[in-house]
Amino acid sequence: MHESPWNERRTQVSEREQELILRAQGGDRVAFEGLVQTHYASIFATAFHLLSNHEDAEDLAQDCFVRAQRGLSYFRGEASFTAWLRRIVVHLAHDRFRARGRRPAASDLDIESLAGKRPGPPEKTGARELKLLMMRAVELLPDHLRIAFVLRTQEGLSYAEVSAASGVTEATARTQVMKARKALHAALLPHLERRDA
Amino acid sequence: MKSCRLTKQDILRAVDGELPVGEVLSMDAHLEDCASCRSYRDEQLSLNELLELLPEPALDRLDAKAAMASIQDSIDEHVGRGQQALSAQTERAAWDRALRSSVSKRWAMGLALLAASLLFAFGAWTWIQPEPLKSLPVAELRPLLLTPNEAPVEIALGQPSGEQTPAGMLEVPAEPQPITPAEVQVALRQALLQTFSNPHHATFGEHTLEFFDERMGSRYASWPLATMSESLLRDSDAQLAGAAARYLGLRGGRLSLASLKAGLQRPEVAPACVQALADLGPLGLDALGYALGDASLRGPALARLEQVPDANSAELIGAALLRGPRDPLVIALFLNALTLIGSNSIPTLLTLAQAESVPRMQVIGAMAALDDVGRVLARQVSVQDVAYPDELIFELVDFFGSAEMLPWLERKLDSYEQRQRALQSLAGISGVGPLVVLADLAQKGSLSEPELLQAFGALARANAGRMQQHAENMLAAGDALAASQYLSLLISCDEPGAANALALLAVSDLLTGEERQWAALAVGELGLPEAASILAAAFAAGELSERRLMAACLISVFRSLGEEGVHEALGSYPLGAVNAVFDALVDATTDPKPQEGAVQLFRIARVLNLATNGRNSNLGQSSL
Repeated sequence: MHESPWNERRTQVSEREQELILRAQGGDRVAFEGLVQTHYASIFATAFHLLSNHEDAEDLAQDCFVRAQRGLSYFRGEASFTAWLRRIVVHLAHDRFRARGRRPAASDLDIESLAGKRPGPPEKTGARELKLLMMRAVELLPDHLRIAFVLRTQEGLSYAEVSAASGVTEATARTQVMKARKALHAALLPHLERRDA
Repeated sequence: MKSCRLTKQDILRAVDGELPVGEVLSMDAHLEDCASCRSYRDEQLSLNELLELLPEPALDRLDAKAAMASIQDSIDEHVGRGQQALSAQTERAAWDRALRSSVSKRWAMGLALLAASLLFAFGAWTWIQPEPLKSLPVAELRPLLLTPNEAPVEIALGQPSGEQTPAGMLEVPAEPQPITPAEVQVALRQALLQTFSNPHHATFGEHTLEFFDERMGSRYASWPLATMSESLLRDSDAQLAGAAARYLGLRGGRLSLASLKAGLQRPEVAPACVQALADLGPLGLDALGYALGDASLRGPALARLEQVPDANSAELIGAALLRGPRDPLVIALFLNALTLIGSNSIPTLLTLAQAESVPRMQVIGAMAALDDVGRVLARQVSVQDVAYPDELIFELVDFFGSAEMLPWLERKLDSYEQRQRALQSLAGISGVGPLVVLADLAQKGSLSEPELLQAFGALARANAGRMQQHAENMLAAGDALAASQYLSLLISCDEPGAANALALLAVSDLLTGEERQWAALAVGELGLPEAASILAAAFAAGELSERRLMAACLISVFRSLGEEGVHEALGSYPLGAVNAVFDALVDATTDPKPQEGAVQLFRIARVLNLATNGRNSNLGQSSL
């Protein structure tokens, strides 16, 4: 799983950050800029993992901070500022997914149009094609499964953090990740390597 | 032990890093004995590896300053709109108070009318302005970020992104325009048409791709062009679809197979798809085999398979033939394709020869057009894990008579049940090999005398030349015993094909005098001129010295060649001697009583002796 490079920031709000938040809540633009500079890369990374596109991710990340600025007065500091931002970006990503149209159910996940009919070991399918296959497979997951799966595997969040970001219980988050894995497994089975002879 | 269902759940938790250590042990215990769950585990681990392929954000490409500026612009714009909305609300409140403070009804009516007019005007004015921001009650908002510890975030509606920077505000530096899929599509279409509409480029393989890459340019190099080309296979422009197919044939892979197979369903694109499938090499062969089942695609698919003359192509053609209609023309078409593939198709032809739906003789006829059938056939029947019906192989041995099949026949000769059939086929094998095999069998006592004679006679009937060749080989080897045994068989089989061999043995000095006499007499019994000529030539050359042998030879020469033959043999003798010998020969051959055969031989020999002495005397006088 991918470990987020921002693990060290996922703690309770530090003193310095608390000061910046307070000043930003008071309208201090420089303080808010400081918050953006501190968290922009992290939020951008989350957005990228959700959308798989650099330009869309920048768009989403900026949107997230615009929203955060408007709602800054509601932030109480009981959860980390990063978790709060992540919650916003996940919500906005959800809106974008829905704006694109209905997503297939997990059982409908079908990438056979990309995958060949005949199974074969991964080394016989080019790495580039495998990458595209994997990206497409994740993209085709139902929204809620995709979000939970991405947060868990690519962001490296704990289930508590996934739960906080996506607004579901931890148990639901675990179930969503498991369902996502099952769906991906079924869709990519021809390309999964078996080690036993 | 845990069930597979529970174990698979454990596996999912384990690859997720969530399985407690204690439960890992029980999972491992199940995996030790369950191949299915082990496969599932491996697949999940492989899935993890595939996850590593997912792209990571390019953080070095982030422009934090530009992002900050853009964020601030959006915030400022939102603030500006909010102030406008507040101003509008304030104005409406003021007018409302003014209306309520009027003194008289008349003033009130007039003011009311004025207020109504102003309100209408104000409404029109606000209608043409951008809609101010609204904040809806929390309950009416879409699902929000609600947790016990956090207040809901206000979601502002009607706030499109990417609006133009209002005049006077800080301008965000323009970002480079991103490449859109539509742009790549346009470039791809053009490059495909330019490349594959040109007949030269369509046939030059690697150079074709270089030309295509040049047309596409490096700007779109990272885009999945093969995947995008697959969608073009469904384009209404048949020329474009065909070009996309050709591209996929050169640069596609396993992932393109399904699309190319689907393209076979479009008549106007099918030929290009067939070409592309062939260009994919082994990957596309199966799909080409599939195309063989379609009457409209059969010709192009066969043509492409014929250009890949290996066993795989042959197998596909064979499989299609077995699946296909029992139409003689179609059968002939497929068999012809197999002959063009060459000897690599022999295993397939052997399979077809066993099928009821395909006339066996047609298949054998196709094999007959191939080179090196015997060698390939021999190799094929020696493969341990491929079993062919013996009757089929016997039939092929009879048809082709390849010497390479002799080892297989020898194995069958060892079998009591199949010996008779094998002996029948032995005669059809070319060369002297069968004679060697027979001799070997005779020596081992594997054959009864009648069997041996029957087989030997069959060999002589089938091929006289090999009998003579075998005699020559034997004489060259100086194997007197084998030659003696061979002689016995040659005489006993009473076949014309043995005559030349007998003649050779008669005039050689490897055998005993008596054996040579019998050989010479046997030549006369068979009556073949060519064999008798051998005797006459040897006689005339003075290669014969023993009188009885000479007599025997003359008898056979006279029987087979008549007077002319005798004169040829006795060319160096005086005419009187020749006439005397001739008269003796006439007597001998007109009274062929077995009990007097030796007497006649003696008389001819005595006359010959006198004639020879007389000749020698004349020669001695003439030398004086």
